[in-house]
Amino acid sequence: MAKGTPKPEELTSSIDYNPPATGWRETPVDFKEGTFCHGARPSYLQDVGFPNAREWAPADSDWKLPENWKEIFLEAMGERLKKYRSFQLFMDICVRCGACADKCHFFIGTGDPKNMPVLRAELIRSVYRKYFTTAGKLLGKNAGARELTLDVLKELWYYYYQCTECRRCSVFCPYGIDQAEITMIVREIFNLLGLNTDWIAGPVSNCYKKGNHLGLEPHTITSNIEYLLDDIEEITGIRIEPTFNRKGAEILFVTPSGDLFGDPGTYTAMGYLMLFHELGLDYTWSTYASEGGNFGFFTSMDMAKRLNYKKTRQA
Amino acid sequence: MGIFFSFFMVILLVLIAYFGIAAAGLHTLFGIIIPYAAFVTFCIGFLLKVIKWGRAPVPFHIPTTCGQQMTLPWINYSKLDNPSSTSGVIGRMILEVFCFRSLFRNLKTGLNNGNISYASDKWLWLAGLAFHYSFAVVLIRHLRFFLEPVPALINTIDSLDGFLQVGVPHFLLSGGVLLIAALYLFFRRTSNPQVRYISLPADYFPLFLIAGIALSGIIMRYISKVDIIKVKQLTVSLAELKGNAPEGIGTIFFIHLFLICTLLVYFPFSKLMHMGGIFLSPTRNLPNDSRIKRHINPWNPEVKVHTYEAYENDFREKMKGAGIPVEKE
Ligand code: HEM
Ligand code: SF4
Ligand code: SF4
Repeated sequence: MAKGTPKPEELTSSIDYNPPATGWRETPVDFKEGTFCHGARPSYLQDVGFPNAREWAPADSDWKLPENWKEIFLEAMGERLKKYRSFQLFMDICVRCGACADKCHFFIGTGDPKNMPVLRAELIRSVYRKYFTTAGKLLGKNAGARELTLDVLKELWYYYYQCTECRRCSVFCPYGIDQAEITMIVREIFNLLGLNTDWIAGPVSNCYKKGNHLGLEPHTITSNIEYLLDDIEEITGIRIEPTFNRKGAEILFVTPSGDLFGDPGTYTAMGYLMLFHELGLDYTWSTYASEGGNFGFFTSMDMAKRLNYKKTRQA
Repeated sequence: MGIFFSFFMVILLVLIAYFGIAAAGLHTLFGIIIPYAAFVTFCIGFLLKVIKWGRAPVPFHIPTTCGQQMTLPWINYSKLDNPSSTSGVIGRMILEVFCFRSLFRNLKTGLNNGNISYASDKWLWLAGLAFHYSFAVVLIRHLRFFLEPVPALINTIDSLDGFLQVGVPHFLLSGGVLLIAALYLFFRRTSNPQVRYISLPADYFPLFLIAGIALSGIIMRYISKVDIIKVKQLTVSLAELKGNAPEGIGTIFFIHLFLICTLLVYFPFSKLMHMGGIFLSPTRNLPNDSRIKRHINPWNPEVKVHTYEAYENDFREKMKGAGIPVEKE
């Protein structure tokens, strides 16, 4: 991670929106310190049964990939082209008009041309052309196609973890091409190779085992909320008594777990605790399903489903 | 370099047509066989592509939301930018297809004395509209070559298009606008550093090709005139599936025709398929009703979950300690 936090002026002064002289296919990926996360630690992946759990670091030259990583990647890609109309369509119809180019906060903040949504998509589109279109197979580079090499894989990884899946690019695209969906699908493929980041695998594992991304265990949830209730009582003189895992309540209340843990989320939590009390709602908290966000979307659709299950189960 | 590669490809096409007619006299090949083959390729290719897209399911119901979502009746919501009903979606699609609405939002991000700043940028939208509408008008006007008698509507469009009433024959705006708009789009592609960086040969080629078609058409109409009676004989015979190619039309016509055939063949295999794709784009053609209706993934896989029982087993003592009810003591 970054050594010391830079000042805003330092950051903006280093931005240059003009791309380099070498074409993007000829510019090798450079893992800049502070712009990528640690590789997922094996235990997190084992918790949810993801493949190729091992110690690894993105900056290493050897990523300890399975022997047949390329086949796995291409096969998974072909399968997903048939399963997601969005993915197939977005591979085919981009006219490279550039309307989305300067809309991504990763591009705005870094000036790195491969952070333009259109180029982020082209990184995988070039692979698509090479292996899934006739023109790409025959004409190669002139059809905008390129081989999937280890360097290309690393480049994909580096830039596909610099997308927050915010979908701003999709708002501006005349065809609604949504890089967020492409990112989800490509990361799903990465997960088949054990290529995740610790910051995502950790919350996923926590949500799975403990019910929320921070890994708060049931007694911690209640005691954290107790603290908030103490504060409320001190200020208002009213003691609120919420319930936990109570069967038969009319409403199951699920909130982002950050609200119970750090400021300013805790203020929000105190706010709605008071509001619910004032309204006299018949509600209960769940320690089992104690996360409002679904961190599974950052790994794979099936994982998202495995986590969503918890909310519906508890209700 | 993509630019030169594409440019020379188009020049090569022109030369092929030129020598094919002027030197080899292959009128039947260039006047009948290639046009039919191109038309069939276009239709089948277009259809297959749309079928390929149509067969892929849409597991996510996540249209791009660009405004307030429909929630409670007394909260205004954005009917077009975040439609919750089919009529809203139709409105949204009409605006996208006919007005390029999303492109109208375009902004330019820049750096101003170390501050990130945004400015309105509508030129791409304007040029894009000019380009596509003039293309559409040119296309409709050309129906006069294939229909006998010529429908009144086409004559009306013709006279509107030539309302300037300059030149003999009257100068038609659409052709000129098409050429200029294509040249502007090319200019933008090369002068905007970001767009230039992302451009591939597949981006320059259609622009050169369409500019070539417009230019050869303009030359044919105003400068190196061709025998228009014979052209109509040929085109009507094509439309009636008879296909006989009269001689002596003028080589420039065959160059024009050959470039068009190339465009037809190229179309289904290229980004030009955005014409079909825009209608199928799931982020635009779905209503945002996932909080109103439940949408289930078509293949809905079985997944391994961490059940409540397992959770309670993991934490029973801690839960009891914190006074949380448990199901099994
Ligand atoms: C439903 C019909 C169509 C719609 C809604 C549509 C929409 C668009 C939009 C929004 C753009 C991006 C803006 C721009 O660069 O101008 C675009 C680009 C383009 N369109 Fe279309 N289009 C349609 C049909 C066609 C057809 C029939 C052609 C030609 C055969 C065509 C050729 C192009 C080309 C060459 C570009 C890229 C321009 C560039 O290089 O910047 N389009 N289209
Ligand atoms: S706005 Fe859409 S069509 Fe234009 S370059 Fe971006 S993704 Fe491609
Ligand atoms: S979805 Fe990803 S690529 Fe698109 S603007 Fe957001 S962060 Fe950038």
